[in-house]
Amino acid sequence: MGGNTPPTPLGTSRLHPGPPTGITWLAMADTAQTPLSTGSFYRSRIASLLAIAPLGVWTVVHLWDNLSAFDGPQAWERAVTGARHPFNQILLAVLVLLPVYHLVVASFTTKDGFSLANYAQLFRVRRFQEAMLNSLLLGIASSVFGMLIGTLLAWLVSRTNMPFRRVVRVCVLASFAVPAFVNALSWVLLAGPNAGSLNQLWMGLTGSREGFINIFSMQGLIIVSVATVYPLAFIFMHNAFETMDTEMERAARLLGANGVRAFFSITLPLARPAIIAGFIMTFLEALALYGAPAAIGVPARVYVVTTQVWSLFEYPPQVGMAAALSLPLALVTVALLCLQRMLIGRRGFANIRGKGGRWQRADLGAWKWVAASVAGLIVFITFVLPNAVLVFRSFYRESYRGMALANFTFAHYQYVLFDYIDGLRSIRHSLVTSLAAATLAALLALIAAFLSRRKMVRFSGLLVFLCMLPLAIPSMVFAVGLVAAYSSGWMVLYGTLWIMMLAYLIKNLPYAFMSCNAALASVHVDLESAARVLGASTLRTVRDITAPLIRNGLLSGWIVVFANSLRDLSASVLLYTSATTVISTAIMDVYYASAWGAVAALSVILLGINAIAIMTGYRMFGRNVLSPNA
Amino acid sequence: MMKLELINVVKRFGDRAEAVIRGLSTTVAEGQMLVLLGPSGCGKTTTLQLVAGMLHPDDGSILVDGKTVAGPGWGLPPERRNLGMVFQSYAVWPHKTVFENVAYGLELRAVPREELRRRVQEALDLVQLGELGARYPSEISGGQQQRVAFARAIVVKPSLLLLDEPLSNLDATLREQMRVELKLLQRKLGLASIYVTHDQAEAMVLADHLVVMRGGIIEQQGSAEAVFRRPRSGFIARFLGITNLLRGRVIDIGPNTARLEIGGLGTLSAFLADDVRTHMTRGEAACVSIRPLELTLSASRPTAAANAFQGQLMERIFLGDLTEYLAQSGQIRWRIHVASSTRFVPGDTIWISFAAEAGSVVLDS
Repeated sequence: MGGNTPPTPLGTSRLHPGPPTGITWLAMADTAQTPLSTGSFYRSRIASLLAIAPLGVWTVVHLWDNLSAFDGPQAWERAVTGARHPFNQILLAVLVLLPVYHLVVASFTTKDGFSLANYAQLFRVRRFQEAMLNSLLLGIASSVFGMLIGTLLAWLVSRTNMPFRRVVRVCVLASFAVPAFVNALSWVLLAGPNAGSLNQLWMGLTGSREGFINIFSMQGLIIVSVATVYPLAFIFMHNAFETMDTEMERAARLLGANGVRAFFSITLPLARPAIIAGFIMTFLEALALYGAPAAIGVPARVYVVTTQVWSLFEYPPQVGMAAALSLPLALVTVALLCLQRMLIGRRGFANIRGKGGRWQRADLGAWKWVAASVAGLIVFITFVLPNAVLVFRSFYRESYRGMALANFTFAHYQYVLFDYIDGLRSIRHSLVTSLAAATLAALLALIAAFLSRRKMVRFSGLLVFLCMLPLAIPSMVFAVGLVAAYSSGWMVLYGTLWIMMLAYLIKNLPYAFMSCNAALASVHVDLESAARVLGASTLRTVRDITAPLIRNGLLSGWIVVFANSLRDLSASVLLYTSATTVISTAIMDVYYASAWGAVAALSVILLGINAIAIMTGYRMFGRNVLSPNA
Repeated sequence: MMKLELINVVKRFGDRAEAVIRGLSTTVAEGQMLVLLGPSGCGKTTTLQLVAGMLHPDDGSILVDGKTVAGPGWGLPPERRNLGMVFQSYAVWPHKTVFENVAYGLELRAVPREELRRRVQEALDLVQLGELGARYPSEISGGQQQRVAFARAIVVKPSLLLLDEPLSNLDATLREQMRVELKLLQRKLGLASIYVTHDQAEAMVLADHLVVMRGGIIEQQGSAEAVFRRPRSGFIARFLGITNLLRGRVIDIGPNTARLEIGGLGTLSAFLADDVRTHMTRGEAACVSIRPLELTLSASRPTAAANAFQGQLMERIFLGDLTEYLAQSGQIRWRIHVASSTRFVPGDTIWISFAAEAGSVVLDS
């Protein structure tokens, strides 16, 4: 299948890894680095400490602020504009060092000891510079187009009488459940040169000999990236529009502004905090993407920072170089979050604090059908079409005699489940690690949330911080740190399922914690006092009242961690070895081997497990969900 | 024996010098409803939490049924005080049915199955929710949740029932209706209660004993009628209902009355209560409070009245049963309520008069 076959990336394929597997590489890398004088050892550590301290603070604080968008618009607005105690920030500054410690140390370490050689290399090698420029371009393009689409859809859904608003909203939110790299693979199926379904359709219709779109290009990468990040923009803008009081717009209308003018002079400026947050979060999301650049960029020889970091883990691994290359990712993250704080400042956008719901939808008249068509088309192209083609392909046998009923088959599923050596095994690995990560994360989060919220320990803020810390580090950067930390020394986890589980657990702990914490926060203290006054002891109150009330929060946290772990690629791809393949890495392996049926079947299985988990979660939020006044 | 005694209770928060409760003493008798009334921040909710055991006093003591439950720096936990409490937020447990909510307190007291079922049903019938036992709180209205909270509090037969602004989340009509219902229920059960509110109308309806708080101290206490008719200070007079508050200087103090010089109006005499007299000195500032309904309007100077002033009628406002007139005498603006049948029109020159005992001399605060 000529056009759909991606060139083998970087000469080596993970499907047929060379003799030295991960653990041996790392052992070799480690011995290469050991001869260090004590002086330079400490110097390098102090230097890295000073370099990262202030940055870490900002990153954690701001990411934490922005994540409260998931608790609803008011919570987000409060978090972003609220004041903070300086003591907390100092505390955070000290603590944020620990997990990135190894990363920074590694980036300043060469076999000659403390050195800036890795960074010098960044500026010498063209490949790295290109990668950084490409990442920047990808980030900017994705955030601009993502915001345009996200804002348009959010406005149509929350502010107008467009028909099928709910359907559009559900589809946009459902795109979140589709892992970014699966989305990228679907797009290869759709728009691969020559063999992509869209191109074949085009050729069939026009008689042209070439397709009209080539996904293996920077443009292709941008399209897929936009499709991946725009739901995030949608959430931010939707929140902003939902809380805004239309009385304000109407006040402008009464003063003589027409609808368009009122939108641009009142509505958009009021949404400014959301717009800034939306731009920055989509930019960061695009910057941290690994799956799409690996699936689309690498074959097209368009490299970004994340794919370069990965390539540095190919034999011979250059952990120090990888660390040096991934730190700028963290720096950009920090810089952007600083910028956001500066732009929004302390100015309370008090007007946004509106009660929500006190507004009227704009009547689009006959245009509403045009709006519905546009929104429908966007959702169709970004969500329905890619997933449909994936499901279709998983049941379809490629044939030169065109479409025929006989070509539908379960063969691909049979192959990945029974014949492909990594098929069933990777599914088992994914399930085991994700289940373990979710359960442990939920338990840890529950304990931490309880202790901190009920102020049962001193320095409870520290607990909160520890739980939220992993948010500050992009998945892949975090994985580099994990490799540096656990590939030598007293505990070697590299090359085992433990390190995968650990990565999922730590990376997703913040989500579990937020979920538990929010659930606990919604348990009004009166609910507990009521039991106490009636004669229940503290422990009895926890058992009878508090625990049942936060059950849903706990379960939903569990499900989020499980689903996130299952779909993770960017951390897994650096941590797995041939013995510890998980679904996502298995999918990438069969993709690089151009086994499209297997790619589609495995992806559908992944989506299926994910969908079942998420749907089960929705089911549980049934009848005794907290009533509003409780 | 008193159901509750607060003796000189003091409460500070943190290391702030200013105490939130500054020496508070009062009692609740068997079957009595005490209403704690005051503006927000006056310490009424803190007082309730001290009684409930959620907070402990820094000084003074609290006695329930003659037994000391809290003293300086210590207190029994809430679960050992045998209280019932209705919260502003209702605090009805959303994961339990109406029946389970009410039954919980009895379960804690290990009441046998049969008796428990009977008592819960009685309590639910009492608040007219007999049919809704199987429902979850999310499936009933706010007013009904409020009744569940009430039933849950009384079913355990507490020594004392605490109500923390229980009606403030209801809409105006329902609040009005529940107010009376609550009063009748409390009477029927003969439960000693403390009711916290900032709504003076609610306080008037419910109180056997009204305690008006301000800035952490009791400003005045007594029956609702006594406090309304004979306020001690300008603050109380304004806080309870509408009043004409005239600020002036004391020129003469008699056995039951005092004479005041009101700037720009002249002198007038009004009733002087004993506990106000002790704070009065000739020549010092004081106020007179006269309720709008106590004032009489006439076209010519009345002969009998102790106090009469000429004024200009500014406005006539129809209030239904009553008519409110706004009149001006010099700097003084009067609010006068009279039966709707009287007819004066704005611009008329009229006389405003009242008997000496209709007005009260109050402290200037």
